[in-house]
Amino acid sequence: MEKVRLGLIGLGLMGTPHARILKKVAECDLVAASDVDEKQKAVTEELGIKFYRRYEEMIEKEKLQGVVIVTPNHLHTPIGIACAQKGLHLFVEKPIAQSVSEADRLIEAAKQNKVCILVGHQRRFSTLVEKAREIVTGGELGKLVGVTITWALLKPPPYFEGPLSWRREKGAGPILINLIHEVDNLRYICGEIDELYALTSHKIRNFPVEDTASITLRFKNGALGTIFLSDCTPSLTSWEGTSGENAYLYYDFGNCYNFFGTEGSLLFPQMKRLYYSDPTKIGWNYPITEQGYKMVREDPYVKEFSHFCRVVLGKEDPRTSGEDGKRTLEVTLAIQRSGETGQPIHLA
Amino acid sequence: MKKVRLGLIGMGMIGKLHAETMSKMKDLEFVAASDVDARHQKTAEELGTKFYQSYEEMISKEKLDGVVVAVPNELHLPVGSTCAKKGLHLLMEKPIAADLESADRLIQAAKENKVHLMVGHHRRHNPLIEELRNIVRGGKIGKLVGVTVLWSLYKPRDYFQGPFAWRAQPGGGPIRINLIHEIDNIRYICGDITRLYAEVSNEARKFAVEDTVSISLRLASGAVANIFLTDTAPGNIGYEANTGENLFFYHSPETCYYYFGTEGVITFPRMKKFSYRDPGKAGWQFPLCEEGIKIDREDPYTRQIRNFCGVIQGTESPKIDGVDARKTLEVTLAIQKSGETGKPVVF
Repeated sequence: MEKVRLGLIGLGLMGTPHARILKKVAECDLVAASDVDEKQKAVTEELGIKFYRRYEEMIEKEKLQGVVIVTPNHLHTPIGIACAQKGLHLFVEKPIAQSVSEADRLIEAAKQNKVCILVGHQRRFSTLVEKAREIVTGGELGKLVGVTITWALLKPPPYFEGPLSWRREKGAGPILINLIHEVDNLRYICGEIDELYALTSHKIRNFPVEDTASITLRFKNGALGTIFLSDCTPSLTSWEGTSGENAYLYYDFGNCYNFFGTEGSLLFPQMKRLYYSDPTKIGWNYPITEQGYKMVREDPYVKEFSHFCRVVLGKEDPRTSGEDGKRTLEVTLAIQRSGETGQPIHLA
Repeated sequence: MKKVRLGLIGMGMIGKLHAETMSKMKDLEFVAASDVDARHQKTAEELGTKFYQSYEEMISKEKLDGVVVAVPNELHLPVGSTCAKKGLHLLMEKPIAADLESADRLIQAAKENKVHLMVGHHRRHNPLIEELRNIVRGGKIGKLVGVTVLWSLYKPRDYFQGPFAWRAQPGGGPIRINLIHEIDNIRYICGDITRLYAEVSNEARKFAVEDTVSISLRLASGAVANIFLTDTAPGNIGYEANTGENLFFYHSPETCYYYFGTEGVITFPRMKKFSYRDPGKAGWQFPLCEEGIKIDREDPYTRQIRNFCGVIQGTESPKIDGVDARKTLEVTLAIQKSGETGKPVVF
């Protein structure tokens, strides 16, 4: 098998586990990693790869084909552009950039240097999400009329304390950190969002950042949606709390998403489709049939990185392109703005 | 105490339910019922009550204390006012009236004639709703953070056909007919609504009336709420189907409301409370503890009539009076308006 030579930039909270996974992916040859913090060298020694303090030196010296960028968000654009100029394909952790204009600059640089961008929205590689997308876009629910999302959990006090107190500030809360994943899932499964409205509140914790939001959406295809988002209530229903794809969080099996179509509804991640099986007995006074789907669970990160290798080799188009990652960011920022202005936003 | 003497005006779907309820209650006298359609005489006879085709005749001939008015919405004001002028207490079926101006005039008529005006938002009389209200208002889930309401029940084709073709026309759809109940529940349990925004769609059925609605609300308490409602997707989540309150709807024991508080979450109508047992282990990495809340079920329609009798006797106050029901109508109409204008509505 042709292996792809990769380097990783940023060995922080996300970068370190990424490096470990990359070492396990058959198509990847992770040769080096860089971090401004010398202490992260230990991780590279453990993995048997080279360490650089300066990523510039790494991309200069190592003959890489692509880089995995897992730095703080504000560095995605400058580092991404520098790597693109070296002809390296880019895996950029989500969000693609801090702002839509930065995302544009990065996309432009990739285009000029003929490299691909894959944005790290790993949930697109969840077998659950793949199946939900297949069901919804394949018409198994008929015409999609709506979707509801509940993301309710409790971030414990230490999440906001000491060196993490920046999480109390505007922009560091559940909309930009967490909701962006829900937005990307929605876009991937249901299509483009063109109108939205958000009511946000910070009345529970009284931090500058929001702790709760209620969001109303309209999709281009005419379907409607609601999202309830809160990080200050017992963790009953959320992607993290139901999908089992986050090892750190306790999970149980409820449903965080419901998809509704003219022929049936889908409960997610229980993966149950509800529909009327007898065409003569359709309506609210009749029992409904429940169909389950057998799901095979696979690690979405492993799938995502092997996909990146195939993108680098030109065998596949990126599942989340730069444009796609930008649109997800744009919708998420619009939700934030609607919450601040109290006005609905129509996206072009 | 002297038994309360009641009459019924309108014997349609909901009127008939009131007739059956009253005929079974021993602590009142169900004196007479009226309907413009003479075919309902048979039902009246079966239930052992007198029948009139003209309600005016009924209220002038019979010595009544109060009437239950279950006529089409546009007739609420004229029928209600006429009865008020006769000094009869009113239990008006919901909505209080067809529009806010009519509601104001009816409230005024009741006031001038010194009669009580109660409105048939029967869900307020369901012990499950009362308990949920006590839990939320009693601080048993801490401070209220937010609420989600889901209503996805499929209206069959014949719901819109023949004499029911009006249901496919503006005003006959899920906002005015179904959503008004959800709004009243939220108001009763959580308090006033201060701001809302709605997206409204008719893209699935392409009728003139809406089939799907998505709403964000802000409450005076600071909490927020979501409502998603569709009557065009096969599903089994919705108050009617989940509470088993009306067995016409196929009963599915699913959850239609989530009430999220800082200290706990309630699922309704399952009435389970989820919270962290140990405050030192509260957070997304810890399991939740589940606790069932036991409630004795009782028919809300019976309790509603009993409340009406108590109001007439002066021993109880109405669970929902005219002014309160007008607010529920105001919010419901604002949802329609927000959907049409694309703008939020502030109260």
